[in-house]
Amino acid sequence: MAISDEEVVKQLESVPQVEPPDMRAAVMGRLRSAASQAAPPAKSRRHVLAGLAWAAAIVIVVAVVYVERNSLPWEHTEATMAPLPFDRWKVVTRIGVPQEGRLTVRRNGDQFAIQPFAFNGEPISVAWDQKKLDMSDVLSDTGGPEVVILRKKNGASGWAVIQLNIGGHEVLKTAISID
Amino acid sequence: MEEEELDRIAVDRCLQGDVDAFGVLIERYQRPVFNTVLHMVGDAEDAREVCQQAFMKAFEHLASYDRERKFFSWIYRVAVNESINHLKARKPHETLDERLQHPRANPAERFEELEEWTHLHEAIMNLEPNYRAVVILRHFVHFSYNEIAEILNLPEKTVKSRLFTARQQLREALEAKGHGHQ
Repeated sequence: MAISDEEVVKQLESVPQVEPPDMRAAVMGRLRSAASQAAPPAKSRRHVLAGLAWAAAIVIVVAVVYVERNSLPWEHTEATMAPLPFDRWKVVTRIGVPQEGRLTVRRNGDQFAIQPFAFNGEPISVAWDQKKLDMSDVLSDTGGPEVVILRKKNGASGWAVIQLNIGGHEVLKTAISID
Repeated sequence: MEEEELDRIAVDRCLQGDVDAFGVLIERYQRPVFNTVLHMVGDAEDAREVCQQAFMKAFEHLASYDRERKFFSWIYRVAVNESINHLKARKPHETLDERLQHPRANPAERFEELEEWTHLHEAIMNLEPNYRAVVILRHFVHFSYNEIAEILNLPEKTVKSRLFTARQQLREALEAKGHGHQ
């Protein structure tokens, strides 16, 4: 069976464009949420954000220690499993930083499962906006790092920022819609 | 007024503090950028997130954008780089095949409905990401060699060479699936 280059090109160019989800509202919401107090984009913005973005919010940092085999004792040994396996929940965001780590956020109703991962096995911690989200559970029996279950506070809306720290420094920050 | 000029005006407004002006740029580019990212990462839900990250990154680094260059080249470059970073960060055990066999619910369900395109899609997803990007920019978004070279920051001859190699690999993959004529 042979196929010509022209046929490959024809097939490629016959693929229709997909209508995208509307990202304008989501991105603008995240921009406003992440930088509502910050100046317009400028070279110093990162430093401004680092100093201000989290200062206004009360942030709880839960240490989530991930050790592959020679594991240290989990800090949240009292945690119970969520009724529905969190890995069946809908993924709302999955972002990563090469060579450092990744954060997956899943949603089930008003609950959010925060699943961190460090490529180098360093200690992980997760922080979130306490004004909008409460911790309701920590799942340790996941075959990997602990998964933090957050619940939306009554009346909370808009966007909530989640931050992943690895080895004591911030690796990434993302905003999720809680509406 | 040309689109390039409209882009420049929107960028200027953003840099002057008008965050809403960035919404104009998102609206103008979200469709082609989403389609590019979708074919890069092979999953609509991931594509949505990667696109949003790309737009946010573009906004954050707007001050470093070289105004002598076309904005669309820059936003595509950000999106392609975000896609490649996303692919590198993917779980090692989360293979493309598994993802294709168990697609998640996504906001662009039509993508999943393109059954006749499955083999081509699989072949594209098996290309190395740098080669995949060239195929997508050339054949899905219809950029010229020169534009692709600018977006990917590569010499034009490298773009042509990668495209040739990529199409050869696609051809072989499709032939292995029984496409073509005897």
